[in-house]
Amino acid sequence: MELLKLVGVLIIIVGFALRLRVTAVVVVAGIVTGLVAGMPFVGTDAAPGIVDTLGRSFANQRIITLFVLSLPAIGLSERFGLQDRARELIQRIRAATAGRLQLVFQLLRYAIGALGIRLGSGHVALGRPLILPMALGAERLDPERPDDADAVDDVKASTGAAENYGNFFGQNLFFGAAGVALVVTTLGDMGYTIDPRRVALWTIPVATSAAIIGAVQFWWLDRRLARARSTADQSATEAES
Amino acid sequence: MSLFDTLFTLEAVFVLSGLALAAIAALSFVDRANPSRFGTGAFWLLLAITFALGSVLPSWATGALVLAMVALDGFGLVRHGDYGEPTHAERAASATRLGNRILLPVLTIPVLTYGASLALAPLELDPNRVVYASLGYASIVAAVVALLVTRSRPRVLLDEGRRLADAVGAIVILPQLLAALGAVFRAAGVGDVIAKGVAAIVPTDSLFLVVVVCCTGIAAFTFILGNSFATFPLMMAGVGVPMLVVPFGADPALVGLMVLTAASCGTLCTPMAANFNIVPAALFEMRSPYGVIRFQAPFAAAMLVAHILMLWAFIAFGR
Repeated sequence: MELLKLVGVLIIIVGFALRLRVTAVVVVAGIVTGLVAGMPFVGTDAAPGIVDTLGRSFANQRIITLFVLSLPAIGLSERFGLQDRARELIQRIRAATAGRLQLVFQLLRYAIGALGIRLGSGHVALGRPLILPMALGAERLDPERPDDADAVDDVKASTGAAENYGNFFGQNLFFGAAGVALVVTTLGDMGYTIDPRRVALWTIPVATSAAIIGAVQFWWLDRRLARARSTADQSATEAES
Repeated sequence: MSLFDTLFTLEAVFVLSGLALAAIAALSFVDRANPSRFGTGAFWLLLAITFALGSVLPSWATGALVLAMVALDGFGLVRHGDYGEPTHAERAASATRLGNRILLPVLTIPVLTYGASLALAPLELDPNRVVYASLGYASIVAAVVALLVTRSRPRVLLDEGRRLADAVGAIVILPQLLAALGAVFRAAGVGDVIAKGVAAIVPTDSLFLVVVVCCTGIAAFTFILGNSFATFPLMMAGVGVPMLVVPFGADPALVGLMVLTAASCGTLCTPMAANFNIVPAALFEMRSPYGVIRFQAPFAAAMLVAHILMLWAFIAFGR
């Protein structure tokens, strides 16, 4: 019964949709899938089981979580006004808006990717300490003011998105990128010899489309923020008169 | 050279991370303002152990520690504490006093990581080792720079690390958990079942329809598994090569790249890609864990359409 193996996928979809505790949903999905596939709970080297597969893979993937080591430096800088400084710097540029800044961030991310520079998570290295306070500062938004909450979350989401757009659609501009290597080796296994530079070349139209669509979406963000601001200003004026 | 070979490794950086996490755990245990200080401390301590000893513990023991962390989170025992945060005015005052110097620690991390990668390029080491060992040591240098610039005590440094770690919370282990789930899925053969399903519904006579099903299929497939590197080889073997490259004479480099980035459209929409979508929402302290995904969904839809049109046009008119 092949389809029964998809029960884990079903558990994930239902669990996430019901907003259950995600870590627990993932582990339950893994255990059920393993049991359905006939894996023992604890296995041996010859026949891997569920708990040891979980443990082995968890240990092998520690690099994804290595960013915790950079949190003390970022946190201490924030305590002494890193975000305030980033706000001040961006406010000197009168043309700066959150949307324009995110587009610049996406293009900067392309440049970083095209040069083959890897920084671990851009969300940690650039997003939280620099881009987010700058974007909030450009819009004069205060994350601690309840009235700003919706706009603040909108700007936060855009900061995460700009990093992902720039990373996903820009990294293969570098012919030595992991994604290019995956294309080359996968097709190599199927008998096609591919020049990695040709794969990088085909990334150009993809990166260009992502920049155009990103620009439209970030322009839309600016419009949304400007509307929210003018509504807020109006109600403030009415309250005064 | 032997000292370098011992210290400039992923293993050494994992041990250092384990020590940092153990310090965060210790501070959590003594934080009386945290309504669940023992649960929170235990969570960070268990994570510290998996980090520092992950390569020497038997896999079943690491697995058991992971189950214990998930249980702590499942029962809501991982909570926020008190970090002695300064007031708005105090922070603004020190920002004015320190000026651009306060940017120094944060800039140290990317500059040193890249600088070390460049400097070590001639040694031709494993690229992951170079990037992540550099990142680890750059983070420590940045912490020292932050201490010097702000003239703080190390205790404050660790408390601030704990503040951000608690802001992310138990979600911090989700990317590793999902990778582990992917391993169980692979062992059980889940990907093959889905790939066969997609291949079975592809019409073979119309180039445009094949392109539509191929791009949409890999996006949906990646949405489910959360990782394009896992879905790409299955999709290329099932659809990309036999139904686009062979019958239509398409450039394999073109098909390969576009199928890979079409997969990213699925990545942008799925909580399964937690390190890209869920961890940032936690790190930015957003109200909804799905806020980043919601923002990205319309972009992903437009990019999927762009992929379909480009791939179709380049194959149809490129022959």
